[in-house]
Amino acid sequence: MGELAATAGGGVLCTIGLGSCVGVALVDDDRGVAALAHVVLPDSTPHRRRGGAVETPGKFADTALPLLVERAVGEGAGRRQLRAVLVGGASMFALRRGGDAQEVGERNVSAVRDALRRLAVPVAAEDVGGGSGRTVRVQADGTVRVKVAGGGETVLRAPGAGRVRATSRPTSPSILRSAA
Amino acid sequence: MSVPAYTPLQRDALAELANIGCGQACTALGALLGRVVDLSVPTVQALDLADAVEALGPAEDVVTAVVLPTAGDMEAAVLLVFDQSDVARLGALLGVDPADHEMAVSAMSEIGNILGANYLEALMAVAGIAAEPGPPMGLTDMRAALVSSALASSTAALEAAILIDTRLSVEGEECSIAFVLLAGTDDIERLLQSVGLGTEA
Repeated sequence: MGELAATAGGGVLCTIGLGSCVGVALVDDDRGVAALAHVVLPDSTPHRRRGGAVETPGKFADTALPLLVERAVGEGAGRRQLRAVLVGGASMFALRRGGDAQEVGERNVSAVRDALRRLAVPVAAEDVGGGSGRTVRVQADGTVRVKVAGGGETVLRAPGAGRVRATSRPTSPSILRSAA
Repeated sequence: MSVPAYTPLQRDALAELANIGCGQACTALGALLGRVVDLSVPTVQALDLADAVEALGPAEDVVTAVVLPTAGDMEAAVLLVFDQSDVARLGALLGVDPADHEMAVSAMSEIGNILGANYLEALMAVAGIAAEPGPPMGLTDMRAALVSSALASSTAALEAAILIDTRLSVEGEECSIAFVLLAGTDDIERLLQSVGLGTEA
């Protein structure tokens, strides 16, 4: 939770059991670089300590994404070749009382999209929303696989533009969308 | 958002508070089931959330979790995690057909409600904090997805957890239930202060 990592070459990055959290993968297929963040909350502002420092930048959408781009580029990815894949942001427990209508999963997804827009990183594919937990595995060649609880693994994104082979799962009411 | 390093004495106090809460929870469950319920609390740990998710067991295993938020002076929540084998065992005690998943989750919500509400009430009474348990929510999914979402969805986006591993035995039927008190470090501090063991002067 709240961690981020990058790999170049043969590595696989994995986040197990995303609920309302969002797994954000950045991939550069040509250079074989992938990075993955596990975003827990949309906004770091209420969680800043005195002096404005954020103890766990990987946990919040606004602080995790710039750092993730930096890490991917640090591993040799081309800044303009980066594509994002979003997984998670399910609606699980609704514990907040009162007027806060939007659930944390939904807010995470929109905060991640905003952060990506600011960083000018296009979204290549996503499997977000719904009511089920997901596990995401990202290979350095740009392959992204998603697994839901009690279900099999599906390829959400294959390496290379225009070769997305997302298959919908009948058991999951999530939105499955690819834009390559 | 790391959890402060509690002294052995503070940890004992948290364990004792947990024991009192679990004791009352187990008495209430016994009354519901009309059976003798024994409960032991082998371990209590105060952890930050990422560590708590890890400590609860294999992240991808499918489990049923019940969450009760608190309403009042303390923004906390109790999370109970049941393995699927325990769901079947406890459900059978309430006469639920194990094939009926929806009923099983509903039965777990009821058992979670009784355990969680009584646990919270005992804890709040000892600590002198005016808070009450809210309605329970039960879900079945990957363990890490349930636990992390319960944490992220709570009002304060809680950063600390007190993890209590309990063994529950209902007339010889053994179940292992994880009780997790999701609370901010400030709230854990309040609990400790209420028994005269606060960190801050």
